[in-house]
Amino acid sequence: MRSFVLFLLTCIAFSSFAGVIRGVGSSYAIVKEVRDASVPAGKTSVRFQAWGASSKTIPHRTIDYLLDNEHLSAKTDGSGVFSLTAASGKHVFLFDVSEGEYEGIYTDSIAFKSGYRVEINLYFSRANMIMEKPVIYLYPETEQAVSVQLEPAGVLQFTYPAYADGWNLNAAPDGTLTQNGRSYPYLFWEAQTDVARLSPDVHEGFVVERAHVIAFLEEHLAAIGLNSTEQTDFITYWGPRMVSSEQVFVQFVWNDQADRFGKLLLSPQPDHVNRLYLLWTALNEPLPKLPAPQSLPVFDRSGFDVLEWGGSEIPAATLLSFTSSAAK
Amino acid sequence: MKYLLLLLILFPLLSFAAPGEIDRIANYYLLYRADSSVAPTAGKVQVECHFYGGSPELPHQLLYGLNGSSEVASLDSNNQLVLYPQPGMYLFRFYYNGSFAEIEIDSAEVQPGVLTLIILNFMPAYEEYPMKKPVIYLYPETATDVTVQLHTGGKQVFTYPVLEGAWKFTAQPDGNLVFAHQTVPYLFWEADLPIRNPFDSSQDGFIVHGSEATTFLEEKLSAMGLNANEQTDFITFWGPQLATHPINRVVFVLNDACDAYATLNISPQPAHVNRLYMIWQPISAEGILLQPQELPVLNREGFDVLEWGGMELDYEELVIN
Repeated sequence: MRSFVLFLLTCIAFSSFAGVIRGVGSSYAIVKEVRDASVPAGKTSVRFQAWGASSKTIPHRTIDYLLDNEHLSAKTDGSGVFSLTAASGKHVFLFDVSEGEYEGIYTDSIAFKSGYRVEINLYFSRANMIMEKPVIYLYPETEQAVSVQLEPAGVLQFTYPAYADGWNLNAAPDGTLTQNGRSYPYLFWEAQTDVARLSPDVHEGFVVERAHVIAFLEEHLAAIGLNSTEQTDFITYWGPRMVSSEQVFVQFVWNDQADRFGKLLLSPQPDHVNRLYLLWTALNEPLPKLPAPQSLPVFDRSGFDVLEWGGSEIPAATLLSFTSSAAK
Repeated sequence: MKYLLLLLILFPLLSFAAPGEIDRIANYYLLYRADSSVAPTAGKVQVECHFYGGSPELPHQLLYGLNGSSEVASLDSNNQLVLYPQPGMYLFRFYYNGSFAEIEIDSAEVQPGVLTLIILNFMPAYEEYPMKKPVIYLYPETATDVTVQLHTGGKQVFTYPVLEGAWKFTAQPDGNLVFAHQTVPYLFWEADLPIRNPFDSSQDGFIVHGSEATTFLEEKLSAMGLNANEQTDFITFWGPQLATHPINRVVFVLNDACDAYATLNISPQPAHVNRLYMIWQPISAEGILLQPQELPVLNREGFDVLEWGGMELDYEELVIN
């Protein structure tokens, strides 16, 4: 598979259509360029740092790359760094992280100056986004058999309890779900989905400082109407990752709007199916324009009520590509 | 070609990378260099040591072994040492002190007539990893005011409810923890902790294929005595992560052994504090022999506390001997 992808990348690189896999947003940046006496004339020393999601580097992974038309491979260290020395002049690179979960990066043409040391950041975005951890809580008014059908907009990655053509469970008013003698507090699914489907509207949402993440989530989740267990589950899932950067962009998607991530079909039909998704991005630089605050719903939790929450982290480069396309 | 590539990668590292960067690349490099001072049939080895985070204080004594021998030598001011073994294949071992991991070079050839250059990058014996999601459930027999103190040997990254000194709340028998302004089903913390890879020193554990993650966890967690909520929370947290890797090795750290990562002081003292950390690592090879770990049945009687968490170690390519 990997070699096939590389082969594909190679073909594309050699053809003149190279631009098509440039991907969205800026995928690399030259962060430093200095003369260095220890670099021989005619050579350039290049230090790459591979970055993934959540402002985290990609450590200890094999990076296959094409330098012009030479096939090479390197392993990143604990900080996502790998280095090489290249002949000075213009070069085209193609990078591919092993195991295929990231988009390849094509650098177009980079000019290396003789006797210089260059540092380049590579921002890898995931080939597919994961719609993470939708969990579904069911609270019927009386104990009853419930069937839940899921139509995810993508490929299911993990379900619990195992989803086989539907979940058929016994649901109790306290939220306990029972199936084949085991009980569960909620249903869990995770699916791969393509970035376009997430399509955050960057004009609406919130920019939240690291120090305010917890208070922000507590305030809004409570106002929307999540109960204390749902709030705790939500905050302890997203909070630790959201505080890894100085600022995050946050956008909520709820109810019918969430159908673009997947549809839920329940039988018998509950009185209310409340769905709340969080799309968020770790911001390393401020957004070009502050979003307008979203006005959030208040969920109706009366009667036989279902609550689902989930979300996805969107890489900054992807978010900014939506920003620029929205500006056009 | 392979050497050329090696040189290509090595050259910039050795020449310009700051010392702090060199030692995170690999723990040794082996190079050969022309040296007119070496007789055509003689061997000469120059050992050069780099230390993570700068050089430790003097004296610079290096313990080393060639094919099982045991020697001590002083490093010079450049952290170098020159040896003159006969040309041939050697198993080298190098040990500096307890702060740094031992370096072993399986089979290195000392070539005749050239300088064999061994560059050692001593890594810390302890590496920092995030301890993920320890959650603590408390089930007193009657509603009880409880104080929980947490001590970790690392930087706390996230706590919930936000931990300021200690968690103080009223615990209900159904597991609800009632704070002044909120009620939560569990306490949550995360911290970056320095640890030794437990797989380096123990062959206990389990090989878990990604596709079998759910079955494996259900079986082990049920047998140990986690309740339905705890199992679901555990499995929906770790299951998706184990499932993304074809092969993982897994070891559980239990009860008192968890003190090496973090200690809990709970007042009043519960009848049982059950703790369970899962340390796991995606690996490349399957032929690793692990002694299946014997897991206890947790005692859940009386005022009972259950904590679970875990750590994912970096992917490792394993070579089966």
